[in-house]
Amino acid sequence: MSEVDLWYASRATGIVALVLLSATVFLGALVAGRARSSSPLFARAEVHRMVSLIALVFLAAHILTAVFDTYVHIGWWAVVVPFASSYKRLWVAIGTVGLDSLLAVAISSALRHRIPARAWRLVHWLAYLSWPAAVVHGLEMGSDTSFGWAQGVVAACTALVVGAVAWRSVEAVRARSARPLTIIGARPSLRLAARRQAGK
Amino acid sequence: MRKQTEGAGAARTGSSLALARVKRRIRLTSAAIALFATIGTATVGAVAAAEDPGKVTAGAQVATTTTAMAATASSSTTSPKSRATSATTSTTSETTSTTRTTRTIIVPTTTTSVATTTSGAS
Repeated sequence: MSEVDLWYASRATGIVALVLLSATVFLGALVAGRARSSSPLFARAEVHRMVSLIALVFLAAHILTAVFDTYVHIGWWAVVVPFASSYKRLWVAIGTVGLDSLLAVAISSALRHRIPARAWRLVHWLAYLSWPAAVVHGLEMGSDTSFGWAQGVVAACTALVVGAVAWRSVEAVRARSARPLTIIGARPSLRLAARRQAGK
Repeated sequence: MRKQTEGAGAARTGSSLALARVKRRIRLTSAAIALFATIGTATVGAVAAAEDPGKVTAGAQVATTTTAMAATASSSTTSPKSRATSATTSTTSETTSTTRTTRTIIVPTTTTSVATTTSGAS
């Protein structure tokens, strides 16, 4: 594989990894928000897990082709250590931060049954950091971002993720506002206290 | 009692069948996504290669060289009856400059020398 082929492969796998990462975040938001669907929740969670694994494979291919491309020097350290690359230090570092957060999410998910649910959830929030990091890294470093089709892909990914996250946020707020009423409803003394507080 | 057991067994078989169906659907979806991603990578790679301005430059240079070679060959044909023609075309230097969107790469110079001797009557 020549240097130019590696460069093409790096570009292609980078864009596909971004699409798959966006799909992962989208599915994750739907699973977490318990969206209504014909398929059961565990099936959607499983598809979310599988898509994230495929995204990791393509991300690994993107990183390998970028490191093996000798035209620019991106050392092995720069893959996991931010600001270790001499080539486009800041934008590579943003990609590195995205990868590190994604690895933390993947490892914590693999060890989900061995760590507390709260800790897993907190680490899982890092996915919301890795996605924008990937977008910024792609926009600033991508050789194709000047082309219309690549901009369209990034715009579609952004719309997908922003829409899903907005829906998820609305659902979370709704669920939070509904939760105390359910608890109060179960206990008459609390219901009375709530009424008194509301001035009824 | 026996009917109850049979009913429970049938329900269990039905639910395990449904579970197997869902699992198969998950596997198929995952395989389809992986296939889609692979095809997507190949497509994006091909588009990236086609959009690379250097490729266009190299193509244009090759086309120009070919036209020049054809012109030389036709001009050196002496007589239609005796096609004892010695068409020697020398392409001295062909430098291909491949320009990446963010960086420039120079492909080494290639020298092509074509010597054709055709003899015989038509």
